[in-house]
Amino acid sequence: MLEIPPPAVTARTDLQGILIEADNRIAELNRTAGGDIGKPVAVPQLAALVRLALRLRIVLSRQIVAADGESDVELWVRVEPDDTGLSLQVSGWRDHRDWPVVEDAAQESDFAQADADWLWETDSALRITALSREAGAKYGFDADELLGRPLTRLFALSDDEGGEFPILDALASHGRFDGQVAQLRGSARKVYLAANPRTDATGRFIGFDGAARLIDDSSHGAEPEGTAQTHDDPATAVDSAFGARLEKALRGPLGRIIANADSIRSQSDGPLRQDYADYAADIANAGRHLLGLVEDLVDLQAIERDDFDVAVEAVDLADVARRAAGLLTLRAQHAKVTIDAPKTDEGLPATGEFRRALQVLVNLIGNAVRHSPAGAMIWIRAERDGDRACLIVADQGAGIAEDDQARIFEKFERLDTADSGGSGLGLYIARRLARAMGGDVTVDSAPGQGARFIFTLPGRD
Amino acid sequence: MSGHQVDTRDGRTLSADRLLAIAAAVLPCDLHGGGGMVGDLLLDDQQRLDERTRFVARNRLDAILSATSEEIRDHAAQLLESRGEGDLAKKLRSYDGAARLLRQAPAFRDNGLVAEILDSARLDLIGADLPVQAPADADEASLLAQLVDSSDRLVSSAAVAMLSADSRRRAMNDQHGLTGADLDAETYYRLVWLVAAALRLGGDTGAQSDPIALDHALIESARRSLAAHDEGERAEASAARLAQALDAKGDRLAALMEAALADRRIILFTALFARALHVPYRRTRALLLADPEFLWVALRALDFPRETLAGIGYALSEADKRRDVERFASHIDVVMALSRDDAIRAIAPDMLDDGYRDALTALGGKERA
Repeated sequence: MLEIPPPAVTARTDLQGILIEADNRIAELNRTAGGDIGKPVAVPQLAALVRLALRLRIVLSRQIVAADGESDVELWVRVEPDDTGLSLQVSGWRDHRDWPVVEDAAQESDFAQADADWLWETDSALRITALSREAGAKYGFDADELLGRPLTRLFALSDDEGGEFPILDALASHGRFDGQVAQLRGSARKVYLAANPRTDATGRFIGFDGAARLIDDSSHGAEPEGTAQTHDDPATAVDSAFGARLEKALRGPLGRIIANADSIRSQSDGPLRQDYADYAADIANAGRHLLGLVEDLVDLQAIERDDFDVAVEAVDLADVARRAAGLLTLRAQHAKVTIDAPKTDEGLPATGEFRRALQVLVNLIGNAVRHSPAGAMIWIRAERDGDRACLIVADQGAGIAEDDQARIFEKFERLDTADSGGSGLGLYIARRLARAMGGDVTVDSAPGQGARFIFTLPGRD
Repeated sequence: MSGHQVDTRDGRTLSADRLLAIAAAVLPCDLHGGGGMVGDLLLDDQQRLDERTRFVARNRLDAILSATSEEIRDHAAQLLESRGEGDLAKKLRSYDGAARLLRQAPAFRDNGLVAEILDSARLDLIGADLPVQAPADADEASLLAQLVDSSDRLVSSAAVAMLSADSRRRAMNDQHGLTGADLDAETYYRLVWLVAAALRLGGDTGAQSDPIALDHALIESARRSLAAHDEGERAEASAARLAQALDAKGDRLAALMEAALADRRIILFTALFARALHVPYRRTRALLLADPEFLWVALRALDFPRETLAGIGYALSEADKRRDVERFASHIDVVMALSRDDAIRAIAPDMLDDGYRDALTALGGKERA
């Protein structure tokens, strides 16, 4: 849903640009800049626009960033000259951020695009202004006949089970929609339509960026993406089709972002200002971080399938631990934490899948690094306990209260909600993997006494 | 933990002799990037490309060069194979340096192709930065959609062609999939022959087989590409057709040009402008990009009302960083004070036919200031 922008505030100047009246908000902004009623407009960007309008004598609009006390605010300003002066309309009033934040709407749009069979675009009157060219040839319509025509000439819309038309609701609220069933005119094929609204800087609707996805005969009647299906755990299961779509939508673009950002950072095509190279490094790191989250979600989807299986191999847990520690060396150095891994002559034979065991240990050791203060040690000990092979990861972090010790293994749980470093899935996935291999992950800890995470697998002689 | 060994030399090996030979062979002119770095440093800021333009234009250039050279190379190799010149075909197919060879050749720089790509990229970027504004009446269709509804068949079909070309270009921009089809016939002609020549020079490694066969295959392949070229689908061509079909004059033309900018169709705007001035599209575009004052005086020469001049000048200044909106606002009254005839006279030298102008220069005549 688009946020409804607050109503515009108004002001007036005379023909010399002197402010003669202003709504409170503008008056306040102006005063902060050192001005007042009866004096020239003091907010520099507003004053510039006022001067322009007085000379050009036409309606002008512009997005500006103005200082509002300690912070900056984004405003959309419309200035209209008349015989006695200028009318100003100011709307928007959004906090200005140095880096544009990707709007949810844009992200949704990217998902829809990655998943679509073809794309379409309309203007505010729902006339088609762009259409994927190959789509016509492929799905039996003439794209040229449809450009500039109403959307309904391409799609015959159907109502859903509740008798609603998602597209109409979206039109009324200028929000996004998906799951609108439609039939391609002139053929029997059905599609799901989804779209995101385009708006101008004041929030007014200027059209839809849409996607169309053919409805498979086999999945006819199935819920479109976004609706959770029941799986083994009705409350929190992730729909596996959604997971697959997510992976497809995210991996490609993320891979490209990381590759391109890395190549910018390495300045392989020529010298670059250092700040640009640094920005590129930030972009690459953020991309890797996101890819890590995607991989967590993909793992989650895999391990929750009924047919999830692990290989049964002979592994040496001490060796796996050494490898995991090695993978995290750089991160540990960066955090000024030392990892004391099992010595090379130590071994701990067990049964499990090497790749998955490595994944569990990277998670446990990574958590330990993240939660350890600078200068701390992390001990990794290999022990045999009866018929179990135990790998213990002990840290000197803040420790975990007993009440929380069960919670941390649940999905999407994080003790520190301000910690955006992970997806909240790590321990859940680690335990599921361990259990799938016939072992477990448990914790032994108390606040102020660090934590010991114990990864067990069936022992091997 | 020891990972597997990684070859950090990208698989290329250099022997000591080769290394010494490379070091000894550096010519004075190779220093400072062959003079390029010195030239770059001395450029005025106004003359330099900003990063975004450079990135877009470079991507387009690379895309067109590789698409064209692959097309010509692969077809020529096929022809060679069918004529029993398997070795030559193989050598040709393995050659991928045509684009690089062209980029480094002085002749390539001067032949107008790069200028065309650069200008089209610059204009597209300005178009992308035009202010976005919702129409006053949300139920009113956008400009091109309205024109599609026109009862005039020529207008309607040209408007459809514009929307179609735009869809295509946008989809391609996302994937950098530009091809020669985006170039006009004359530029494409020059490009194809340059590419064929580059393939000849690079692909021939003095093999035992017949170099004449290579020439013939490349020529045939080049001719095939030329014959298949259809410039009608270009956005610029559709815009020119639409401008022609609309045949707008006076107030109607002024309103259309403003509407084109409001609908962020800068190519259509330029085409309408070009037609009104009786100047080829390319030259109009180049003048728009090079010379801020040209726009003001030319709009005056078309006898547009002050509000239209102001509106167009403002929209373009917001979108084009090289334009100074303050300067425009300060001078608008001066421009409006010019008589229409004076304005026409002022821009007349800019509007000479390229062929005529080039011939004058060739015969030693000076261009009028």
